Amino acid sequence: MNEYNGTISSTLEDNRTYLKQAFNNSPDLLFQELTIGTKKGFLVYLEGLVDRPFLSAAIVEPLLALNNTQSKVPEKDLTLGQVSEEVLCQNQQAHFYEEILKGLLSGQTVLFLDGAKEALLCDTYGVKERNVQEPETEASVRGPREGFVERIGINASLLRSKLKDEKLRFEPMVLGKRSHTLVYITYFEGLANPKLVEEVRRRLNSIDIDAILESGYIEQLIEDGPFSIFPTVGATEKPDKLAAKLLEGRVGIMVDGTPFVLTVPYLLVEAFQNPEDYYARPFYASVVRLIRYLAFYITTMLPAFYVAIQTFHQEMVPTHLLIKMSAGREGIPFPVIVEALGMGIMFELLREAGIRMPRSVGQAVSIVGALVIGEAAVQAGFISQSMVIIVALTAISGFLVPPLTAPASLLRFYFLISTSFLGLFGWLMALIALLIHLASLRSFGVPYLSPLMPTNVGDLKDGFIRAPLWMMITRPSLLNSYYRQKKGSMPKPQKNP
Amino acid sequence: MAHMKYQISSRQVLYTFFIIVSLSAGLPSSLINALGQDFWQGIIIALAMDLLLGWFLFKLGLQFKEKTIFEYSEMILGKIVGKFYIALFSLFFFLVAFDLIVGQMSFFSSVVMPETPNFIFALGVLLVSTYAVSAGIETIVRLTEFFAPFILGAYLFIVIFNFDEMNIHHLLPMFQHSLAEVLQGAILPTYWFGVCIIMGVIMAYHNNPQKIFKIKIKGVGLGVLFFMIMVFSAIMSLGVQVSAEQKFSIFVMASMVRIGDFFERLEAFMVASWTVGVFYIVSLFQYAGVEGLRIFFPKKSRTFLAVGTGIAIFLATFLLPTSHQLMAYRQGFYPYFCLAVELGGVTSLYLVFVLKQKFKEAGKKTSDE
Repeated sequence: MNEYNGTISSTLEDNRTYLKQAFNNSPDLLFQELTIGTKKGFLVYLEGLVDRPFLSAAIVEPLLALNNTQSKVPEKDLTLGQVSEEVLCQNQQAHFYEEILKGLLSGQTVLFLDGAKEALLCDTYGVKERNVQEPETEASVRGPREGFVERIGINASLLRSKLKDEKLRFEPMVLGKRSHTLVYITYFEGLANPKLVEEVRRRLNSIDIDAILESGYIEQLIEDGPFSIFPTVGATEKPDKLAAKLLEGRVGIMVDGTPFVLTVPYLLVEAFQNPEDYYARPFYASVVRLIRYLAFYITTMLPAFYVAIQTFHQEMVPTHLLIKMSAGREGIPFPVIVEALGMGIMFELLREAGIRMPRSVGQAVSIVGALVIGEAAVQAGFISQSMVIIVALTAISGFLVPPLTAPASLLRFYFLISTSFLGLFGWLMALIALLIHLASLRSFGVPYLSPLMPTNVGDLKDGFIRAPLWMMITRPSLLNSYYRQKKGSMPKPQKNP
Repeated sequence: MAHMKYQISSRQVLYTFFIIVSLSAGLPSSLINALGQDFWQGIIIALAMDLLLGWFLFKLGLQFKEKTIFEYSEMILGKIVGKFYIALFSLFFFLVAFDLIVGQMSFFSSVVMPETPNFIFALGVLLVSTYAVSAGIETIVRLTEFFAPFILGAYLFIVIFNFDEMNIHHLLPMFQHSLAEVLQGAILPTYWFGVCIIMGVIMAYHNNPQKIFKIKIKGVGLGVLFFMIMVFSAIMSLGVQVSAEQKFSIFVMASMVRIGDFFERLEAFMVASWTVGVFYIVSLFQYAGVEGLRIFFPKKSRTFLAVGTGIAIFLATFLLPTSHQLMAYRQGFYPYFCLAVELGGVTSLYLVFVLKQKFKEAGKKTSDE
């Protein structure tokens, strides 16, 4: 039983005392006295959660204006119903304190009238909000610049502006016993598999937590592989990306208070896709996508290969290259694995510092780091020049696939350690173990490696490459086996007569 | 989600048989040693035997839907004899895994990393295969979609880049061996192709068991085709004598590949393709063996049995410490045990099943009359 589930009192003073006690005389709980005709009353709201100019214009001024219009104010029986017709904002009547408290915490202003056993909840929410701007985590050269913000209502409207279809659904739900965070399940009715939607609903309903402060909480509570380093729930800040995923039959989860919207199911192949791939012509887009795969391969495995070749398999390298590499290591006091691990840790350190420091300082940290590692360490003879090249290439490649930056960092050390013990045999075993892990992962029932493993030839048109849009007439088959054909058929390019 | 049915697809079955049959390792050298240019005759006999066994298992699998060879062995032969057969098949699957690991140890310690203690290679493969077994058969078989194209690519790569070294006259003379010699030489490929009785386990998980026999023919056919291409290429590149003398003749052929002045020592591809092939077969057969053991230990989890059998196989690698003992085992006991289980075990199981069916039908007719 909630301790605040009593009915509202008809006495103003009782109500005032009750609210003061409930908020323990909190200084941000403000009361504003009103007299409408002969009727006394008060407005109550939480400072900082309401838009005060709007409150004044939409509630206070219309109500005070009633005093000047004698015919509208009955002498005795001014009801809350009559008041609700006068105020210029959305409102509803409440009968219980629980509703009042929730309303106040959500930025509503409550009007109490003397003698009334109910109160009027007026929507006056008005926290200072960030404007819609380009998301920093998903910058694009071509394509819309708008990104989601912290308000769920604005995010929903951004999505609506992309998909003007009445079948776009938003299912509200409140999560977090203390935060009462508003969450929307969003999907396209008729495109999303109903069983997938039901599964999302079931997993969200099973969340029992004090507060949802960011969508990352939900991500960790509903994901399929909680012990995996790979994400099985996607996150995006871009409305156009979310719209495209919903059109494929995926389900989105919007969370109030964060610009990151979750999407499920999330497959590995999605990490290598970018909205810009679809806005540009397919040829270069396909090449760029292949480069992303190559970059992921380089960032996770290049240092490991270097260690394996230097330590175990010198015979695999052409002689003149081997001589160059060995000459570069002349006088280096550490074994190559210590050199590689040290440089790897140093890189992670600088990267983290660059992100966390204030921007101006962060830049300086990066420059100092590059100078220290690139110049001083080589000149001092602590590391070889080839190792600097390897680490630099590894670092740059790591930024090409942002969703997998964290797993790539861990995998780099994983492969490095396995090859340092057993050379390419260790690398191969580590790779197979990783493949087994990935092959056993699922995201909301869909194999994580699809359409690569299990191979789905039809869906590969948007896997390693990006086929021309007119060829992509079907939606991903594993997501949606019922409504595969997209609306209409896309015209093929016409040949010249 | 419930509506998504995950089982083994036809493509994965095809790839599985391709990998098993084409995995050559030391087989080509032994085969060339026994039959020279006539090695293909031995392969044809082995292929015929394998297809016959496949047919028996196909018929049995159709009668006992979604049941593995272990499950229907007990149903056909009764509890006591059935249990004996289950133990026999289980042991067979473990011994195949053991043999491959021993072969891998020998290959790595003699050719690739001679300074590393050879038990490390067994440990590495078994650690990962045990993980694979605990992940389940769907995960194991799904790996073929990555492994098979890689293995296929490695074979093509070696053959194409050895083209200049090949001399077609090395394939002559042919038909130099008597039927008895060919039959004797066919033992080696027959017992190896015979390991395809793993079909008795795979069929239970296949999403279209009606078609599995056709798919098996395609997979084995593709594997045999590539195996023969590799062996023919080895003979044409190295000649019969060198191919027979070298323990890993395909590896020697791979080490001859040069592309321009820069790309050399590309046998690493061959090593990688063999390793993934060996790993795949080891994990599949360890899984099959564990499935058999689960009938004896129904309360134990698959992971528990996988770890237990992984440790047992690892310890068993120490039982044959000298190359003389290893050779005696691999040329003496092992092939004949395999042939006995493959030909004797599967055929007798099928015959008992057919006889039982006949008796049943006869009994029905008598009672109707």
